[in-house]
Amino acid sequence: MSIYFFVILATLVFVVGYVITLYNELVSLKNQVAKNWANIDILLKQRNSELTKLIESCQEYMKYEQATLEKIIQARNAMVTATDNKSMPAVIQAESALQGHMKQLFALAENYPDLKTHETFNLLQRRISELESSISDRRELYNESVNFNNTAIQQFPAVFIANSCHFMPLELFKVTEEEKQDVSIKAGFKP
Amino acid sequence: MNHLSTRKPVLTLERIYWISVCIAVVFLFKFDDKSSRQDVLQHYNTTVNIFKVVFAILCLGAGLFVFHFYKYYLVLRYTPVSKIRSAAQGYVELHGTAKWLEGHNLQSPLMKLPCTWYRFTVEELRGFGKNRHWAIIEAGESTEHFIISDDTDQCVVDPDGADIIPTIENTWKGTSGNMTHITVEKQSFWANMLGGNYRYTESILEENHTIYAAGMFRTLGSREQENPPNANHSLETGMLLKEWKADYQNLLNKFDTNHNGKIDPDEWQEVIKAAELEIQQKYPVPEKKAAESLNVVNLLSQAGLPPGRPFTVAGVSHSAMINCYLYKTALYVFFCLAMGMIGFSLDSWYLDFLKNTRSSHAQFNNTSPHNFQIKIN
Repeated sequence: MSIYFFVILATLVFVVGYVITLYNELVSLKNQVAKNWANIDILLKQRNSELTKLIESCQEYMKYEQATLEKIIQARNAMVTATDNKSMPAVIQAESALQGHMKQLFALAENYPDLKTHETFNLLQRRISELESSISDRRELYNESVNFNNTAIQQFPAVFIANSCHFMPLELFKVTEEEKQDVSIKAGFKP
Repeated sequence: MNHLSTRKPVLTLERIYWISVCIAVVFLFKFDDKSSRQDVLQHYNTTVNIFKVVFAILCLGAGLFVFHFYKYYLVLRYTPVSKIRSAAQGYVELHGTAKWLEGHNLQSPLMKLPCTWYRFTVEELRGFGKNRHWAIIEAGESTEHFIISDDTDQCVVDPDGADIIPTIENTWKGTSGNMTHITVEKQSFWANMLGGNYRYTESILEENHTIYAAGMFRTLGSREQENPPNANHSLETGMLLKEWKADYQNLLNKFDTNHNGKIDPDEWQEVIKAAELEIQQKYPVPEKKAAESLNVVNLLSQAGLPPGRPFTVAGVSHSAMINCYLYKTALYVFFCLAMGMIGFSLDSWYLDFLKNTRSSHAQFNNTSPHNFQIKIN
């Protein structure tokens, strides 16, 4: 065996190893996105469960705000359906609506001092607020991993592996400002 | 401040590899030493074959390190940074400030600097002439836990088994081998080259320095009992908000930041925050100590680390951290090729040796391998 044979063999080993490593990394990235989505999904389910309790405690005091409570229930149901169907556009739409209605509910709750001193309501409000923060952080993380995935599959030379193995770009979980502003909290400012 | 828990540096596979490379190269040069040619001539062929096997193993080892470190590079490059507050259980990457655990104020043993982690070596110059060498007389690294803190929460880091990229790495020379008498003096290049008989090396992770940490994240304990909300504060905040809402124009002046003539949901959150802050300032509640209020501990460690994922703590920027693994990959590519080429060139080396030997030793034909005549002619 000559030294040239070794150089050719080593180059071949490195190229094959590089392709395998790159392919494995693309698989890891895809799974990382799926894991990060699952981590958001857990929090969304927890928040839905807390929301049910919150609505129950509000119904007792906010008898004149049935319309707002109804909207929250509808948005929550839409969110459950969207997460079950794993449809990102539907999740984004339901999340935007839910966030807006919840803010409206908390704004309206300021009109009910009895409700504001209710221990369960305070606990639930705080718990939901914590979950919201966590969902927001994990959404950021999910979007970052989606961004990494989308960048990786478009880069050279990974793009050839991605195209031949059908690695597709994934969608960001982005709640648009316009969607958020559809919701008005004007109702909270009753004279 | 003190240096509490120290242990001898761990012998990693990487260190074993480098020791093996050094031994193999030193033996190779000794083997080629012309003065001993007469003695080794009898076993030259066998020895060349042994060297071929050794260098093939070293080449293969370097090749495995290439893929190992390239995998680490890719993992760190494509792992998003989590917030500690919402970090999921499992492999995560965190970014924050390195801090001491309460009561664990650490000081580096040589430079005497406040730090969260250190590794040090004290070497002594021994022997004469060709045998002059640096011998390690003292070495160790910290095993003390420390905290990484971001703007949302904090997490305890167990550095055991971590690949640490320090914030400060310093090597200097001195005249004392006694740990308590070692001082750090700014030395000129020549003073450092010619300086004392002792060489000190120390790497530290400075306290309050920004760090990146990647490893297995676990939350121990429960959040259930943590900080129950203050009912009186909620009531007072509610009353204040009601008061503010009565003067809608004033609210708009203060909080309508986008000037669209209404309070949007995000602006309303700011209104609530402002009201809560005002009530807190009006009726302050004594703050509980962190240790009392927290019955939850976040821990970042090596435990349960899946294969192919690094446990790294780096006191450098994110790009410097990932590049560190990229440079290591390049280094091992070079060594893989170098070891392979040495192994493959041993045959021609062997022939050169025999050629030279034929001209100076008459008994050569009796000791050479069976096919020697054909090869060199």
